Amino acid sequence: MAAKLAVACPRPTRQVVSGFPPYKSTFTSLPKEEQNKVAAVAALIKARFQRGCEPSLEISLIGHADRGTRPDPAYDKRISLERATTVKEALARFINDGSVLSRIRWQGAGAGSDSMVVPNPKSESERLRNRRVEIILGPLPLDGVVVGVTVDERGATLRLLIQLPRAGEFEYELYRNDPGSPAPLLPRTEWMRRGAMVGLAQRALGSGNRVRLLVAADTVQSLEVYKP
Amino acid sequence: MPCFDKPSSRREQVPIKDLFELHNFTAGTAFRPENKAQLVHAVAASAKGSRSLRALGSVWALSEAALADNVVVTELLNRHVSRPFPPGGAGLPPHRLRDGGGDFLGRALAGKLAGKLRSAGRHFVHVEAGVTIRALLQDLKASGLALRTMGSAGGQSLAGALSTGTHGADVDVLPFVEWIRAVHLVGAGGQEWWITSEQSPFANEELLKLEGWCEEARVVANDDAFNAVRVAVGRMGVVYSMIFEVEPAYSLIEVNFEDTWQDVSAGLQAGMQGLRVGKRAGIFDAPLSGLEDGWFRSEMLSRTKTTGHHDDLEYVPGPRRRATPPPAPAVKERYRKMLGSAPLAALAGLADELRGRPPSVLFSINIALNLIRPTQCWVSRRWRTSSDQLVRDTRVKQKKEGERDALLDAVTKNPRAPRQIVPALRDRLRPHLLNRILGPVFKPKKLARLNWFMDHEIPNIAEKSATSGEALVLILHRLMIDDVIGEDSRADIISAVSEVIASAGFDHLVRAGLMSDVADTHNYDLDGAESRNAAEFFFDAASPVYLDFIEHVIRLAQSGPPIMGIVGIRFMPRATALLAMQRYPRTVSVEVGTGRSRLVEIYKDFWDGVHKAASDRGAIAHWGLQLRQSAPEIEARYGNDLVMWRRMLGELSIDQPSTFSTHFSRERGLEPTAATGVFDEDAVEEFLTAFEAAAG
Repeated sequence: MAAKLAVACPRPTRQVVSGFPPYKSTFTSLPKEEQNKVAAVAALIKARFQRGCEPSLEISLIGHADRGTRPDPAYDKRISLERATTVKEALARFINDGSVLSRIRWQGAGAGSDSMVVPNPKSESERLRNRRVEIILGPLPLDGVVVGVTVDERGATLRLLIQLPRAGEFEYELYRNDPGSPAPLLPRTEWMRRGAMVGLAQRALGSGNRVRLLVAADTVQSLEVYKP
Repeated sequence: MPCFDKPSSRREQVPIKDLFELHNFTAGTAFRPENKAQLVHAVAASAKGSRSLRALGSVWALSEAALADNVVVTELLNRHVSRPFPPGGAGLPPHRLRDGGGDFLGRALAGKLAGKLRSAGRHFVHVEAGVTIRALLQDLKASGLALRTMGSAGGQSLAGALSTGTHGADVDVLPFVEWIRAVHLVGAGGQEWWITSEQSPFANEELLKLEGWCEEARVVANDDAFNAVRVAVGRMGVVYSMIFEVEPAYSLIEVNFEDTWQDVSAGLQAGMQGLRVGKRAGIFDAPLSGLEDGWFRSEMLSRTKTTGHHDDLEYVPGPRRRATPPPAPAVKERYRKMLGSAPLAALAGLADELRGRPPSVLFSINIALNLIRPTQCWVSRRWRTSSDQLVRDTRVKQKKEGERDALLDAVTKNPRAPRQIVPALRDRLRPHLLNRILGPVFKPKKLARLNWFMDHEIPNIAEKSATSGEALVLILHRLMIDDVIGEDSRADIISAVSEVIASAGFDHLVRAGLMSDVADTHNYDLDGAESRNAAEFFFDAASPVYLDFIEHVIRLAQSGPPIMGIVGIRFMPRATALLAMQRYPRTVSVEVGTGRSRLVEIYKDFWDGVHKAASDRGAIAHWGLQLRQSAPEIEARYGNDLVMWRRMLGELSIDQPSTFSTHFSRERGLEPTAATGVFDEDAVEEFLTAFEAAAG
């Protein structure tokens, strides 16, 4: 009898494809090694659709632009979205499997030049890093700035000034206390999660750094603080 | 940090004997706490020394569940922590109250809730778990209260009875463990836990005012934990106290009749059909509408004979002698006369009290099948009254008063001096045997053997036996298998032996009175004299599997040497405690019990066969009786309930998972899974630590 092979299930990850030339958004304009990166991500996505793995049913792409010498946010927004679309189409071509593609929900957004990796680029190589697309194997996070954190007997919330994918200020729950009496007991890990959530929100508020939230049913599932 | 002050008294290398001396062992240390703080100290000290620990109540468990390196004797933890709610009756004397008895129950149930509970007739007691059920019954009696249900004996400590899932035997009343409302547990490492259900009124700030309340104690109002801790086989810790729901005093009327297994089996089959459609049928269809008509009169008339010049009726103990057509008026009159005459005279008063009351449905039924003569059964039935219709204390024996059992007296007076029972045993056996096996025909060989048996074998066995009970068992066993004495008269010998040992526990025709006085049928006079093996198995009462099991046990008993034992059959509803054996909406327990001698293992094949037959039929074994089921079998019986129980054990054993781990618990898979800290009240600290780390 043939030995049973273990199924490798690559874990969801985030990949950045960068190096678009100025004003370019086509796939062929990307350096060869960046194109290969897209092919590798496509292979990873396919691998997760094997039997025994948890498939990535949501894939999000966020395109970015460099800021030109004469700022044009509308143009930056458009070209960044074009870049996200280009990479999405390239991924689909590499996957080339109808049964996989039909199950994937794609989400795309153009961040324009609001989230540059190198805020004040001094050289073309630094500008190339800003002209990029982020591939996220998961839902599209909300990207913005924390403008308030509230903790009271009902639970804890944060207010986020969202810049991506839609603009506006929204409130999300970090956690909610159960109103039952006596309150149900929570595992130690849940108390730690709550503490970490409020702590990170506080850090983001104090530092002014940007955050990315994954939200389900108005409750924050994950919170990432980062420097753009 | 556990809350303790000074150590309890302790002894080292203490021999421990259980009721029937099945699992004697030596405890490295035996702690004997006088209060909760000393109990906590004992648990903490044992944990510190990495010694396993078990509570030792009245040592009635026949399984190995109580065996551990160290023991904590809970007999002094036997008082009421709080006065009963609501107060009633004469109340408890001061010596039955711990530290004068606080009013936790009254405070916890104050306000509107108290009014609701009072009007709903709900009553609670808060009592230390080392109390015996027997003592608790008397406390309740003093307060005008009674237990909702109980097993047939009251010698067990409350904690012992509950931790092994010991049950009631009442057809519709939830098992014993279902009346617990809160548990105060001294858990692993001495950590105190107050565990109650999610909707419980007993988890509030009033706990903090309990005398001796430990600030480090953790309050858990969680159904999963509560369902786990109520039947925990000692693995979760030592129960210090519990709140128990009781009810206003009521009366029980118990009637015991001898019957044939054929009739009982047919009644059980019909009853089973009824259970499937939610109807009382067959053996369960026995409403008591007084003593002068209906079911009781019918059963009595079928066991009477006509005597004297006036065709008087006389009750004849034994199975039904005839069918009973509806009696003619003259018979009714003679029946009434019989109830008012010796030896049944006391029944007339009870008949007066019950006259005109509506019929009561059967409350409980307890069947005992005699394995030595498996056509013979005794059926004990009980009915209950409401609290405002109590009946006077009434006892009517099957035998005429004055017929004392000299052999029973000898055993009772000499539980551990078997030589002292030899004369009474000889007196009992000799006339039986001479009449039955010799009769009018002179058989010198048999007579010589019988004389040898009487003069040498009986004293010889008595000399070597440790208790009178086990001497009796081995003597009668040897008598029944003796080839010379039994040659061509084996049945007569067995019959004679059966008469010697028969009907113990069913010697009353009628017992009536307060539940507290009637429910406990254990003969405490025989403690220390008896030696038995017993196992009990639980089945679905709506399935014929249990009857098949009983028939198999009967065949086993007939396939080898005669078995001095019984098969007990009782019925009860399902319990919600995770490890309770009552796992079917209608559960039946089948208990197999036999005599035992430590000199010779006389029933090994029989017992091997019984346990195998039970396993083959998917039976659930009683935690507190002989238990041979392996961990995989137990996992199969309890399924996800065991998974949840292990999880709860993990949560309640944080940092000290081995304090109560014993060979028994490891062999049966009663060990914890990893804890998540769900009941850890250091949650705020966890929160703040994570907050500080994240906020940088």
